[in-house]
Amino acid sequence: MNAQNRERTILDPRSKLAVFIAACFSTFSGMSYVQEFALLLLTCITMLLCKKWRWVATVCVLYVLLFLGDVFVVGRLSGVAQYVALLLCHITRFLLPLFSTFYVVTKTSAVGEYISAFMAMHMPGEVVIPVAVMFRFVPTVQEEWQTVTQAMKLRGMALTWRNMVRRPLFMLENMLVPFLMQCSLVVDEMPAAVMARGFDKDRPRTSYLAVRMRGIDWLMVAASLLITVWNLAL
Amino acid sequence: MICKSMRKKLPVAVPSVQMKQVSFAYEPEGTNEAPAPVLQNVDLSVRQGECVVLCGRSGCGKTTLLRLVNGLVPHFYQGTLTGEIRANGLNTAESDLPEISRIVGSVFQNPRTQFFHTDTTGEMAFNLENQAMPREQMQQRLHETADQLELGDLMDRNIFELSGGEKQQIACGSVYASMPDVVVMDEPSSNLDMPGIRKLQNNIRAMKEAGKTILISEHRLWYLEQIADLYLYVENGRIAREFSPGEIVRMSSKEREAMGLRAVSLAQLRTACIESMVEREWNHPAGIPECHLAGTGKENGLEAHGLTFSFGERQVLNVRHLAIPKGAIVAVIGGKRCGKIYAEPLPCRGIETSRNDKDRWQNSSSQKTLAAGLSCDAGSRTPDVQ
Repeated sequence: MNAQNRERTILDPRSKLAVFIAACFSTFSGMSYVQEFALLLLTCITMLLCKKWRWVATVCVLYVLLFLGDVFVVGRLSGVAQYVALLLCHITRFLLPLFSTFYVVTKTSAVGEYISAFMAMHMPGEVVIPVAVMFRFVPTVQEEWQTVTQAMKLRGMALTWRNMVRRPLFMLENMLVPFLMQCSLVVDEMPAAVMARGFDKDRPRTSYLAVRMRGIDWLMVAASLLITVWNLAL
Repeated sequence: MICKSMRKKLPVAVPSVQMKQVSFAYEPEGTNEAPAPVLQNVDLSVRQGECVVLCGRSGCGKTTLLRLVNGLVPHFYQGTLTGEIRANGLNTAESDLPEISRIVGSVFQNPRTQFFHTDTTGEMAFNLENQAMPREQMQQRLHETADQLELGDLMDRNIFELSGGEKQQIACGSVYASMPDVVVMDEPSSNLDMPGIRKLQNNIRAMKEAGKTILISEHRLWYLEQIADLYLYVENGRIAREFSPGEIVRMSSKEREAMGLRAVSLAQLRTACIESMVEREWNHPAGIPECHLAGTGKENGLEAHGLTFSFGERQVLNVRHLAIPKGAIVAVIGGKRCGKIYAEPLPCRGIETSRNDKDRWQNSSSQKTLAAGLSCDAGSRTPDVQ
């Protein structure tokens, strides 16, 4: 039993969430180059503290390429090509920190850690449960999507650009309908199972995991707050 | 070990689960029709420590009976309920779900939808957290559960990486850890392969030895052969018949089939397999030299020569020659990691077929050949050999 191992994870889930919220606000507030670099730095430090070395390397390389593309390539194109390049170099670049922090939030902490953290903060059940269910659904969505695309492949409707261009509505219908039906099945059955096991938002519950904010966590929260305020103010 | 009916040996005591004249109809959705009753005048009395199996056709009301015991009816699934249901003396209709969950634990059919956490340890501790157990006591309880149910290897792992059998083990462990007096299981062996069923058997035996009252709704009955104390046959919302283990095994196969029941013992299951017309199974990772269906005399609908499939350097499929006649329905079965999950979709990806089978998935002619993969381990979707 490795509850002790979990306590040795460097970052508290709340500090990861703080970085994610900072990325959300900053991305859609319009950033200068300096602000972008600062947000990227914060994101990379978070990922390094979560030991995601390969992901940091990928994000940095991608960012540099997109940045250089934006500075040197976009200006030299025109028409449709310019719009495509703009989409790639500009918008994707902005979304990189957002996706990276979402990945950190959902992949490096378990649902139980978030529930424990929120309970420790005495947050109401109306906040805890939707957030916990959202995290719980991420791997479920991945699984269901994989099943649906595999089933479509067997029926000659592989998810390729060719099929999407030739019959887009047909593809969309045959992807989304079974996918949403499967998700709705999970949505129907999971609450029943959870409630039958005694979960009640209005009753006190203890936590198996011990989560607490350490110095490094407060530092990350402060940095996230600083970057958010800076991006929103300027 | 021969299991005799336990009814005469258990001392007379307060029933662990009791139902008196219970009728229930689910609330109809969006129509003005009168709701059709799912259960009608059910009387049930189960003693402490008994293992009772509810059997019957799909839609007969078995699942609703179990939901009455664990309180999902009427607290989660609304409808019209009459009669009284008690679990260890607690009236389930008048108590709330957290109170009932301390007495009644539930294992559901679909491992994928019954988990709240993404890690196994958190999932095992979930029921204990809901009961506000102190952390030190929780850790001790989980240690004991992992030892008694042999779950040590499964702790601290990602639930989505487990097989169906392993997921059900965690579900059983989670229920066992919270120490309810009554355990309710709704078709727990669905989605499980043979090793998974064996593990489930062991878990149920452990619960029974710990003195739990167990109610299981099942279609697959053979694995409960030496565990069940009583079989209740449910038909159209009523408990139509009651069988001791000896009586149900002695039932003729005709009578069993008329009731819609499958094999109730391993011996009956083996007899059914021998009677089937398929001569061989794909159950060896290296494949088999030849595979022909006997006695059809028809031309081949599907033929494969030298069929191999590998993930990188790991070969998962190797079939020298396969010929399936037109109009045949073939089940691909085998143990874990035999390659059956790859055998199923591969023929559809471009192996030469006869000209009448270009579009095999459309139902038009009875001459179509259908290759269906059954008994796949639905719990795992990672690119691992199944």
